[in-house]
Amino acid sequence: MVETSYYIALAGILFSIGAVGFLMRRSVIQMFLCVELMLNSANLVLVAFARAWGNLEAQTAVFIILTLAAAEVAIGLGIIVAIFRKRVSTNVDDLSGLKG
Amino acid sequence: MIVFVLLSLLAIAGALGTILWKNAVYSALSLVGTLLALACIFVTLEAQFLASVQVIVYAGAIMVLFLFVIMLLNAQYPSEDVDPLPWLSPVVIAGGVVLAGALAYTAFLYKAPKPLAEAAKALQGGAPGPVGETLFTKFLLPFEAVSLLLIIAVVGAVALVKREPEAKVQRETLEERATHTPEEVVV
Amino acid sequence: MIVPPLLGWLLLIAFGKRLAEPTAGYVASGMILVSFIMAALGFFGTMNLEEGKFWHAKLWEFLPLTKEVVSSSGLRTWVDTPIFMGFALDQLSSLMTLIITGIGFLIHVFAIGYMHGDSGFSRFFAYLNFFVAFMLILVLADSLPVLFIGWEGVGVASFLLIGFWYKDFNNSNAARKAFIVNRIGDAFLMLGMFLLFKEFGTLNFHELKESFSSVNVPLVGEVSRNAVAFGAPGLELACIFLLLGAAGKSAQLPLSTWLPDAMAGPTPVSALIHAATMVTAGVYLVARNSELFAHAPMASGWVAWVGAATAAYGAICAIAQTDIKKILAYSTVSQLGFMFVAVGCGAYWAGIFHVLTHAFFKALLFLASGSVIHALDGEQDVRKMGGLKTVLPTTHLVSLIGTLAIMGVPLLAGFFSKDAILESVLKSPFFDGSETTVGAINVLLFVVMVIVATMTAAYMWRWYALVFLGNYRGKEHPHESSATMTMPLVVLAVFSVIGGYIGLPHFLGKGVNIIEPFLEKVAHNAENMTKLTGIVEFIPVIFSVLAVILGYFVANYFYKRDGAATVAEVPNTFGSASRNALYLDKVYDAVLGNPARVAAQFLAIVDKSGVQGGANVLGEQIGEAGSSLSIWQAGFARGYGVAVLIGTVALIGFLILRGFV
Repeated sequence: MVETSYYIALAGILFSIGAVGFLMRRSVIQMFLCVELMLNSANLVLVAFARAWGNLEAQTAVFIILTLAAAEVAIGLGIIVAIFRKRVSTNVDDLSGLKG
Repeated sequence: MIVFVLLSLLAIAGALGTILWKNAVYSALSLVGTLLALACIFVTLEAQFLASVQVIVYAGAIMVLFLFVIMLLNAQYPSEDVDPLPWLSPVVIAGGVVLAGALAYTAFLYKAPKPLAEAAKALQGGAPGPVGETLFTKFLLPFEAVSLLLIIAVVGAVALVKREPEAKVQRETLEERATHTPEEVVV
Repeated sequence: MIVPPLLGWLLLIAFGKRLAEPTAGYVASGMILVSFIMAALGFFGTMNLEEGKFWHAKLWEFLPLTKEVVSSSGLRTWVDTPIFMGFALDQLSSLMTLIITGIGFLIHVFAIGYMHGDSGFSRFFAYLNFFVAFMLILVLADSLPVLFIGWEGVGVASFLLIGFWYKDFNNSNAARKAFIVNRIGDAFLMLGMFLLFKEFGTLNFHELKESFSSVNVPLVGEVSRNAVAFGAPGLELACIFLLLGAAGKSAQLPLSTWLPDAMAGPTPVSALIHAATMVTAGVYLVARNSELFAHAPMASGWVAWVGAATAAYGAICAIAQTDIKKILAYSTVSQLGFMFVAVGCGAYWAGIFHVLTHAFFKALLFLASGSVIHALDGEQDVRKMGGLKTVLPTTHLVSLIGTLAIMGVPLLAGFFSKDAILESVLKSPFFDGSETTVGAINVLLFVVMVIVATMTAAYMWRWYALVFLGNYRGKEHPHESSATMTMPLVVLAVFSVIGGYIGLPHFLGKGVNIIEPFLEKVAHNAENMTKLTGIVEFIPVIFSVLAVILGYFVANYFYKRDGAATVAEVPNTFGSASRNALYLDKVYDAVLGNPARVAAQFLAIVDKSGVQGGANVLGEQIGEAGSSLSIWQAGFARGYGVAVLIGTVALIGFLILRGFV
């Protein structure tokens, strides 16, 4: 059996890739994909710990997180569509109207 | 171990693909690859039910929704204008590498609370039955809360995407339309 | 008890548009009345409960938690210490529920009249019910996280109600300010919770208390004995975090600035949330964790000094105000300071006693000012009032009672509770006093509090005089309010008179003080209180009476003098109108002297109300500071993201290097 540490390390790497992508990509949709990636790495950690403890609670939590992700995607894509209608762009840097 | 290495390489490759492809459709498809690899990893982690849900809900439903929106908005191509924050990429990459290293390092500091084989047995393979039992006993309240959240999300999504009342939109008359060339009419 | 208001809220939110105007108010008030009856039953039930006993309802497991325990042989084990969603009714919480539902009911009834004709009528009552429901959760919670749910809930309710007339930009700004300042306090409350969990392995109030009382019982989560020792560092720090959390909600320095702005909300809201109930949550928090604070002398000392500083600050600012509600708001800040002094001195019953009496007379004063504002069609400037004694006879009478009560005139409610606080200051064991002698620091604190009491009398008498005495200086034609508005006022006035008799001072004999033994069952006084004997026993009473008399004369002296003068800008129009700015300067000069006036002006400016009449100075200053910082805010979301990333990396790196991971 593979030790828990390897799974956590993999999750850490995936999370970092997601974070880098989130900040480098300028398309809102791709940023959103990266958020999903980070969310999944967190799920991986939970599942790995579930096995380490022999406790199903963490797996149940992952199930709930999956539901949460579905809700989040529905809203997020809704926002993207709404913004797109107004700006005809999915580039985040066009959304810099909040500057001081 | 070999399985794990292969699957994790696949997952990392998919993740890199997600962030490196310029075309959003390819990005989304790469992410599907990562998600599938993660589903397989879930199986090795005694989480069969989650693995199947991961495939059905995540790789299936959610990613299809993504692809649908990308196609709908015709947003697969990146914009060509100049990056207003050119200094950002090197900083982010450096930060990301350090972060990955730090997280991986901390991961190996983790000490298992009990022998793995013994703990893994208690999971009963993460079959739907045991997971459902936890979900509907200890996690009943979060479960109900999440169902409420889903309803809110549905309502919210509809409210967000709903068009403004028709009256505010200036409708083109047929005469006006006739005077335009087809290219102009396309928004 | 929580169910009826919650039900009322759901009903009103769901069907608000369909309920005709008075119905929504009746529904909401009816729900609170049901709650009140239940609270009263609970109260009589707890009266006979023995010490340490309480009614407990464990509902479901709320946070499954596990604590790692390392035994002396190095073996690591895990103990399940879940936090239950649970409610507990004991003497302290039953008294609080009585205050909340009782005064809540009266204010609901008042609001039916006050909000008459407002377009958001049913929305208003929905929010009010929402608030009451969460306030009840707050006081009935059996553990800190459950309390925190209520704590956040009332914060949201407060936000919604301050910004109730959200179409005015100032109102929504005030709401936001209240919300944000509260968040700072909440962050500290959470830190306190984390630390307590680390030290004690539980967040249940009862179990926390047990950790101290029984030396032989094994502690939850194998708490080491050091953690519960008198003045243990971890305990002190946790208590200071709790204090800061309480300071946010109860508008103590340095987080006090939101409360005066919160007066942007409708007056019933100011009365219910920002005078009688929500702002006293901080005092409740300290009293609820009395056992912790009693073992943390340094943190308790801080509580007392923060309270004293806030009391002085509130009183200084109150003298300068011209808005009828802002005077009361600063007065509330000041009175909350008094309560903090009491709980900081270890006399937890005195703090809660003052919460009770203050709830009566301050709700009364706010509702009375609401009645005045209603009568004058929204006029809030006391300079344009005066002479309302004859026009608003009922309102005048109850306001007089309320004013006298808060001034601390003997035989009214405020006198007894203020006296109890002053006495506790002399007796507190947390400073340099011993069991037999009164410490020098205690005396210093006592002197400060007497001066503040004097100022209280002065500014309240000024408030009363400007509104009701002299000649009328406004243009509107005042009219007395309807019965739904005056009835609650009369009830509150009655309680403001008799409310103090449950806590008579000790020298009148044994057993005359009912409230102290009642609350003692939950919140012990701190140990080793100084015993006052002979003449010293009477000192608090003597000084509090002197403070009232002095304050009255100070206020009257300046009021009379200005009352006779004419207004320079508008000669001969309203002959008896006071020259406001001059008047304030005089009071400052005379009462506080020049240096204090500078300080007061500074405080007033910081508080964006100001001697010059409430210019938006703070907003401008923040705006300027914001502009200079705006270089960091280019508007690119990715730029902010990078900052987060760098911060995360730095934090993780730090943790690794220090070996914390």
